[in-house]
Order: sequence, then C-alpha cells, then structure tokens
Amino acid sequence: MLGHTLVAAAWAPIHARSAQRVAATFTRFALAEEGSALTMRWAAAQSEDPARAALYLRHATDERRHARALRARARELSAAHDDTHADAEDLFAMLGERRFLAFVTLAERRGLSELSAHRRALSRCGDDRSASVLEAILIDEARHASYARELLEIHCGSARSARIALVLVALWEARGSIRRGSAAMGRGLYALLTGLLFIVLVPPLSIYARWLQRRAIATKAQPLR
Amino acid sequence: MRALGRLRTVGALFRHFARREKLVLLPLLAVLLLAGALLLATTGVAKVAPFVYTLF
Amino acid sequence: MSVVLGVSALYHDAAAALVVDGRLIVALQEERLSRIKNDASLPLRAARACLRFAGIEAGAIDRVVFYENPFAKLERVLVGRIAAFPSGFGSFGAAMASQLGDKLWVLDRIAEGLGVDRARVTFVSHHDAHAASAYLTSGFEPAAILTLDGVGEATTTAIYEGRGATLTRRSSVEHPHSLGLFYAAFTAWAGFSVNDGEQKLMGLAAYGKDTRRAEVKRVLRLEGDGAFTIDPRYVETMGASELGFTPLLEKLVGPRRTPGKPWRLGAGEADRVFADVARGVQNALEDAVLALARRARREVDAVDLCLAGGVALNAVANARVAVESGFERVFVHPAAGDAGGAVGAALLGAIELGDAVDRTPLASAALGVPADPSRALAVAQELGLIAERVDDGAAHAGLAVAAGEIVAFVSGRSEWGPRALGQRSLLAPAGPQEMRHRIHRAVKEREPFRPFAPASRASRAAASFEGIHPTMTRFMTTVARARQPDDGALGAVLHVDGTARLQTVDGTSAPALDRVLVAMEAACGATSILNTSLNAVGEPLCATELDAIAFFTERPVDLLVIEDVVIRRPR
Repeated sequence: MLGHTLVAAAWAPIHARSAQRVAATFTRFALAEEGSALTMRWAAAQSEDPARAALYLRHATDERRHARALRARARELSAAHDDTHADAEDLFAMLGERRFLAFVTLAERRGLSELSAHRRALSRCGDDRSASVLEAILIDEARHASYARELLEIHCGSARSARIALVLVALWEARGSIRRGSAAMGRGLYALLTGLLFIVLVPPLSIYARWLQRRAIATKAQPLR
Repeated sequence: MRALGRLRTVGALFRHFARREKLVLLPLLAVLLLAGALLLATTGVAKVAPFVYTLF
Repeated sequence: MSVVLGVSALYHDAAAALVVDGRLIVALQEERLSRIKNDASLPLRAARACLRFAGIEAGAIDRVVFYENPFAKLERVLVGRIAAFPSGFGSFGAAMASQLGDKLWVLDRIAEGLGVDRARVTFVSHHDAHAASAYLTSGFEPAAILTLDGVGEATTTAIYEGRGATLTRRSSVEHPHSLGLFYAAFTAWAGFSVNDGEQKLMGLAAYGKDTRRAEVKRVLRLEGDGAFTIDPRYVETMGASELGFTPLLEKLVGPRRTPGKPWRLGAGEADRVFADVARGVQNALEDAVLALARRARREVDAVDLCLAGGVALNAVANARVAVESGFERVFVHPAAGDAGGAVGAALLGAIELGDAVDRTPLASAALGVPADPSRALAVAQELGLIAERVDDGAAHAGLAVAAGEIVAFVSGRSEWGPRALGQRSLLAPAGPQEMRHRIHRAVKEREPFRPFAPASRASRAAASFEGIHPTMTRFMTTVARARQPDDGALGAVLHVDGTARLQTVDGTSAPALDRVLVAMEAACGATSILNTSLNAVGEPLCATELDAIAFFTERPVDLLVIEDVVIRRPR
C-alpha cells in the first residue's frame, strides 16, 4: 500500500495539469468505482443476513454515485466520450466473507490515500471543482474503510485476528499482482509472436485464402442460395 | 481430466480443418495454438486488480 | 428424465436455458445476475441459477448444447484475416488470441465451469439455434422461419422450413452480406453503441425524411427475390476496426456523430442529417426483410412465419412483415437476439436425445427467477425505507399510477429477452407528456427522442390502437398505430409518428400487470399504462429484489412494489 501511495503522490500532479488529463483520470477512477460497485452488489446478493446485505448494497450505491459524479465531471472537462463498462471479480465468492472484509478494508484505505493525493494536486492547480468531487468521495471512502474494519473484527473475534487477516489478504493481493504481471508479459510475447507469424507465414497463405473465398462466391449463383 | 477435454477440442479442430479442405492452413493453426500456450497464463486473471484506481 | 442446458455466450448476451423432458423450464440472461449490461462472458451464474430453480444438480445434466460451432467460426475468422493481408496487421494477434486463447475452448470451459463431463458438451449451428428458438416456441405447425443477424459461423440470413420437430434450411446468405452488420455500421456512425443502440437508430428514423436512399443503396443493394449484397467498402465486416464502418462511409453520408453529445432534432439542426440517414437505413432494412419474408412465403408451404436473430428485434420492420409479406401470422421469439440461441440450442439438444418437444405456444416471457418479497421487506427496513405488506401489491400499484405516481414494479419470474413485460417494469401514467420528460431526465437519462411504450389489456387495446398482431404484441416485438394520437390519452407513450411498441396483456402472459391495469382503469378510466424497463442507464434489467431496491434507492421514483411488499422513502 505504501508503494501505491508513493506512486499516486508522484503521478497526481502530472494528472492534474490539464483538463484533458483530469478527465481521463476521472474516467479511469469511475471505472474503478463501477468495478467496486459490482463487487459489492455480488457480495450483497450472496449475504443471507439482510442487515449485511443492506450494508453491502449501500456501499455499492455509494460507489455508483461516485462513478456518476466522476463521469459527469469528466464530461464537463472533455468532450471525449468513453462508455467502457467496468468488469470485476467476485471477491466475496473467491475469498469468503472474512477475507473479503479484510480486502475491502485495505482497498478503501488505499483509495483514501490515492484520492487524497489527487485532491491535493488538483487544489494546488486551482481546480477546486474537481477537487470537491474527490472530497465528497473521500468522506464515503473513510466510512467504508471504517465499517469494513469493524465488521472484520466482529467476524474474526479479536483485533489481532483481524490484523492477521489483513496481512494475509495483502499477501494475496501481492501474489495477484505478480500473476497479472506475468499474464501481461505472456500477452506481450504472444502479440510479438503473432506479429511475426503475420509477416512470415500469412503472405503466401493469403493467396490461397483469397482463392478459397473466390471459389466460395463462384459456387453460388447469387448471394441467397 | 481437464487436459483430456482440451485434447478432445484440439482433435475436433484438426478434424474440422481436414474435412473442409483447409489442410494448407493447418501448419499456421498449429503454430498459433502453440503460441497460444502463452495465453494459458492469462486465463481467469482479470487485467486490472479489483478496487484499484489505475494510476497510469 | 432428460435434462438439457442450452448456452449462448462470448459474442453478445450470454444466456442459459434449461429444457427438461422436452419442456422449457427456465431461461436467464447472464447480465441480469452479473449486473454487467450485455454481458457476453460464459453464463455460469445464469446456468447455476437455472439448475437451482429447477432443483437439478449439474451431474444430472444429459447434454449441454452451445449455440454455435466454434470450429467453423474460427475457420471463417482465420480465412478472412489471412485473405485480408496486408490489412489487419494490428488486430491479427488480438483476433487470434480471442479465438484461440478463449473462444475455441468454450466447450471445455463450460464442462469445467459446471462440473459436467466434456463428452456431454456439444454444439449446434448458430442459425439453427435461432430458428429453433422461434419455431419451437411459436406453436405454429408448419411454419416458415427467417433468421437474420450480424453473422453466426458464416451465415447471416437463412430461410428454414419447420415441420413437426424438423427444421430444414432452404436458403441462406453468407458473410460479408449481412443486414445486422449493415444496421450496426450506421448505428455506430450515429454515435450509438453497437448491439445496444440499434433500437435508438430505429427510434431516430421516425424523425427523418426519406432523402438519403441513393446513398444507402450504395451500401445495401437488393438483388431481387430476397437476395441482397453489402458493399464491404463501407461496412467493416472483418471486425478489424472497432468502429463497424469504414472512412468511406463517412465520405458517403457525412462525418460520424460524437457519442454522448446531446441530441437536437429541431428544424434546421445539424442532427437532422443523422435522422434522415437513419430513415434511409430503416427503410432499406425494411425493404430487405420484407423481400426475404416474401421469398420465404414462396419457398415454404406454410401460412405462418417465425422470426429470430438480432435483426428481428426491429419492431418497425416486423410490423411491415406482418402486413405485407403474405403470411397469416408472425411470431418473433421474445429474446430474438443471441440470448435466444440458448433456448434454441437446448430444444435442439432435447430433440437429438429423442424427447418430444413441448410445442405449446410460449404464453409468457416470465422464464427467469422469482423475487423474494420477504427478503425485500427485511433489506428495505434495514436501509431505513418504509416497507410494509399489503393484500394486493398489483392493485396498490395500479392505484398509485392512477394517482400520477411512477411505480417500480416487480412480480413473478423475471423476463426473458430485452423487453420489460410487467415482471420487472417501471410503470407510469401514459397520458401526460410531462411524465415522459420526467422519466427521461431523472430516471432513465436517455436520449429524449426515444419513445416509451404502452401496455394495454388485450381486451382494451383495440379501442386505442390499430394494426395489433397478438402473437407479436404479447412480447412487444412489433409496433401498432394509435387511432387518435392527438387526444392526449397516450401523450407519454406515442412516438413522433403516432406508433407505439405496444404490449397486449392478459391473465396468462402477465397476470400481475393485468391486475395493475384493471385497478388503474377502475380508478381513473385509463386503459393504457406507460411500461418501461426497470433499470437505470447503463444497467441491465433488474432481476432480483436487491436489484430493484438498489434502483429505488438511486432513482427518484415514487413507489416500489415487490409482490405484496410496498416500499416508500421516509418523508
């Protein structure tokens, strides 16, 4: 988490420099919020206890409100349109409720520090309107981190067990980052390989492929057969 | 079991291409499949970590 | 007992459908449970929900049938990409990764995801799945079947004969000639998302003048006797570009529209250009579909027609087919797009196992999962909402609408297909124009030119509408025309041309909505209600009680009714 905070603090001033950059940043943040909302909705759906389901549902509603506010501000700043939809992982199903709560605690704390860095950078650049959007989100994020931590402790039975759960989830996240890194490398290598194949093997085959297509058309007197 | 299932698919794929007179394309397909082994590492891995504000 | 699960996935609208002993038991779109609009990923949530609903374990599944031949699909994509050399260099790797790293292994992933023996996972051809979904649920015997979409493995259009449990393909059109891709190209050009925005282009067309036929003809040409060609110089048919259209199309009809820009369709406004082109495209599509339907009438010895495939969601074209094609009756599967392929695949799998498929006409699209009113009550109270049980939730909703309120209405099992049909609906008075503006602005946040739709009891509808085709209006797959468009009774639900995508309701198709309409009429005399889908912008239709509660907490509607539970905000 320290790494994320440092990187955020380093990049935030760069992202705050122009309206276009702020808009792009806010759109990315909106996607993150929408992903979080999905995760919380799935958690609500899988929680049998209505009080717990209501809590997660409220959290999801907050995240969606954040996403709308971020997208609205992004639209004010830039005409460029991005209707990419978020995706998410069903962390509740993957981790079980205890580790899920630990994850949410860590994630919300991380979000708090990252968004705070961006808010400070925006204020320094004089973009108070954008800063106020983040300010409103930060209030909710603090509440999310707090309730998740409280629930975690209730679930674990003690503060010490809760801390252990937090450490285990932090390790899980680190492993996930490594897997994502190697998957990205795999994708990169694959792109390189297929690019080479395209240049080397495809040209002679393209003549054959076009012949196949022409033959298919010739066998049909008209398109409707 | 999973590997057996996948072999079944590879077999069906090759039979499909052999039947449709696309034999000439089989070498390219074979190379692409082998290269695709690199993608096995990506199966089920979400590209972006959950709850993370992508910084870049 | 034979259990067949049909699956559609990976391109658009993933879904799962369960057929037991030849009878369709439950069908669900993945997006309804994942809450990701148009979710195309493997529908494991939907599949498990189907099995849970039916009380069946995955081990009891005899067959899982996928709605497309992944090998034939790969063949078309591979040959097409190679033939296109040198273009497509940038996207070749991604296309091959998509096919060989993901889509090719769909049968294995289904087996692994559900815990089913791989040998029990098979496939059918894409258009066979579409044809089966429409014909086998229509109740028609025999019937002609016309399937129209973007592209399956390689077929884009097909005419079938349905007789008994047998489907025979009579003729077809192959890629790149595709009405779906043609319409999608202009959908993208007008700034809408493909697979979601086609309905918007259809709605926009009513605002346009038919002045762009000549240009559109250069893209889509009718060759006579139902045949047609698409000029691939204008329409992106290889998937090499995300746009769906080529720069040459912009040279032909003008620069594309920036997505998300507010629409201005007043006289002299620049957006009129898009409306005029939309008019030309819609006209061309209707002419093409009609020509194909007429060909089907000639080719197949049957008086009834079934339609399926994404293009069959074009309700305006369907209305013309119903009147002008020469068929006596027309049926469109309620989930005519790719989701419907799951039903078709499952039914074909049942036939292959030797089951006698239930040919009773589909009476209702309520094929999904029920909501839990007790859970709704408990969760709503935890959220600080005012929630109470009443004797008759539907009557309560009807009275609320009669009093001018907007009601989120949840009853019975969730709908199958894109239309809200009274199971997960947002209901409001159909008369006041102001209601339309309010829902557009505050609730749906959608383009103001898009009309809302009315629902009327089947016994009442003919007094207000003409051109009603009951086999289609039951599932809102066609449009009807208002008899008196200016009398104010339908101000919120009529399109600018006086038509509406009407739903006719009865005690079988949507019993709760029928009771809503009865109560509303008794209270204020209105016989039509505004019925739009219960979902916010960018979200799929609600399915569960939690979805509805989440919607209610975020959107300024007046009342939420979930079966016999009525929920309001505290004052």
